[in-house]
Amino acid sequence: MSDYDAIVVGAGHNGLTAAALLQREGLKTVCLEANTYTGGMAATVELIDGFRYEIAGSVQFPTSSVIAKDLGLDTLATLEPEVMSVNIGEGGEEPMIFYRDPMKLMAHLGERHGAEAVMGMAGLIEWSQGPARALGRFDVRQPPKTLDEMFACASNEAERKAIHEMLFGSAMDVIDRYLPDKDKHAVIRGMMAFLAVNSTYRGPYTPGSATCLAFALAVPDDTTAMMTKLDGGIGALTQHLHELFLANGGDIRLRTKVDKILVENDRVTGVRLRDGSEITAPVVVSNLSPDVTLLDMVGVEHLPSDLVSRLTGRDHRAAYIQMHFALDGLLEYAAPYEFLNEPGMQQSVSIFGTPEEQQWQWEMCARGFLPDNPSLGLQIPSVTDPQLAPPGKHAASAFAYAFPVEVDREQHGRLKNEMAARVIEKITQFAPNFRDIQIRHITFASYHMQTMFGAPAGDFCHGLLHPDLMGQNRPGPKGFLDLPIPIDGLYLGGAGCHGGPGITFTPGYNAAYQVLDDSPATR
Amino acid sequence: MTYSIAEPCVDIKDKACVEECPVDCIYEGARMLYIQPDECVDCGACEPVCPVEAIFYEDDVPDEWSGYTQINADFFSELGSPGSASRTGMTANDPPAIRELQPMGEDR
Repeated sequence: MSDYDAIVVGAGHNGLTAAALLQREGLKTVCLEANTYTGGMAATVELIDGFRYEIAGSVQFPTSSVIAKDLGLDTLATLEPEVMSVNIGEGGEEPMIFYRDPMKLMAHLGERHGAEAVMGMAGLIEWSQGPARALGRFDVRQPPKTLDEMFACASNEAERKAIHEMLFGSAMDVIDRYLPDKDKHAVIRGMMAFLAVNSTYRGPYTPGSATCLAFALAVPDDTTAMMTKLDGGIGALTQHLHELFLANGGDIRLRTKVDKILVENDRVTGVRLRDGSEITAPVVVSNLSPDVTLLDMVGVEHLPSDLVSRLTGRDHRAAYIQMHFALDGLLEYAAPYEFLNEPGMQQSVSIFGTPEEQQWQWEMCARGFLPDNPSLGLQIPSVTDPQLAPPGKHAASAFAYAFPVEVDREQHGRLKNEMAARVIEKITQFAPNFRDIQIRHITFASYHMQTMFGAPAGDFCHGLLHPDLMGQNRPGPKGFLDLPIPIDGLYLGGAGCHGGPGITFTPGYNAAYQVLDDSPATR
Repeated sequence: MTYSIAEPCVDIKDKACVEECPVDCIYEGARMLYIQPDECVDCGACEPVCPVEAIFYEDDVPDEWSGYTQINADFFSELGSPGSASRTGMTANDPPAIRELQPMGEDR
């Protein structure tokens, strides 16, 4: 008799999704989490007394409505600020203000950026539709697609070209076509370029960067929802799943690190924990990345050599730092950006260079140098959500790209500090009081995401958003389309699976239903 | 909850942990390094890089060194929470229990 019907390894958003569904459908389930809290990279965490931060992910990606309804995610309170984000250039260009209301957004674009910008943005969104279907971006309980199946998603020649471009082109191949004016469209081009590289190891001119652009631009057919901010921070989503799991009788164990997934005669039998104890179950759903799960936790002795080589060397070069600040007030932006000092404008301010500049910054990082002018986003969710910071104070988080991740690991601590200094310096150029209002700051480089969340080399995607890691090269719950995992009872549910990166809940959802489909007797 | 540094650090002070720390909360005393418990964010980055395995999560401190969680806190009884170890530099605030230890390091 096993201890449980199912063990879920990892209590991030995918793990909690899988655990909540399995328990709800009658499987006695335990969710094991190495960290001291649940939510993983979709948690709101009080890192500094009184200051709560979205520790890694900060926005809910457009989510399949099937998943949102099934899990009750659509019942959670969202923040609906008038201004979602403001993008400013580096050379005094016309800022782009992302109004939540699409009509207001289009009016702003038309008035300030010209009719071509409106057409260009609409063209880009339309461009992403075919690629989004090819990537299966909103597919639920569907296998990933082969190349042939991807191209078969095209309903006309324009979509065929778009799918080709998504797989083989650069983000700038696409952006140059829809927003060609390097001066008038500078800020929008920079914003789109950043969208295309932030989950990759690419510059916007590097072939393969169009994949991330398509993934990030895609919206489902049945809604117009874009990125969503949650009341209480992103952790509200995982807290909801945590409570759903417990309400149905599930067990969560924190500070419980799984060292090994135990396999006998090509069947899962349970897991061994770091303290040497074992928990038994006929089903194990791992939300660690596919390579970590199979190579490190299961062990190559249980795997065919083809599968081992397929999993070896997956690209995890996540090149970023993430900073969290406790602030004694808001920033005071200098001219020409005084409009950012108006109420509600500082919730999300991005300072992106032109695509050319961003490419140069990435080239520097790829050659082992710190970027001298990193593109960055600065979010201050406490502007619209006061519960995240003490009265009068603010909790801010910055994400900056192009950390030279290929430099020797021993150098990362020093490099992280130097890049943090450049980020602070850059923000201070725009808002001179930024240094003075800092109470404390925290700088996470990619390696911290490894120690805190088991993300391989800090790759929050568990396999970067590159074309060679999507489609048939991203496994489903039972492994690759053409190379399944030959171990009964073992399922993959993390971000490295199809449906994958970003906070979409799809991999965990797919894994849970695959378990249920495979064991009808337990339902 | 916090991480703390235990006896293997005494008279070693390798400092590999110092640059790993995202909050600059590992302070240098005369004989060992100390983690400021209120500044630590529990990220765990310091633990695996310590060459002498001196760093432990609060629940995991071995019994023989269980006093070190308090010793780490006591280092800061006068210093408080300075907010940055690199700006603070070395201070000889080592609690008596550490000051009075026999010299260690070379023979270990």
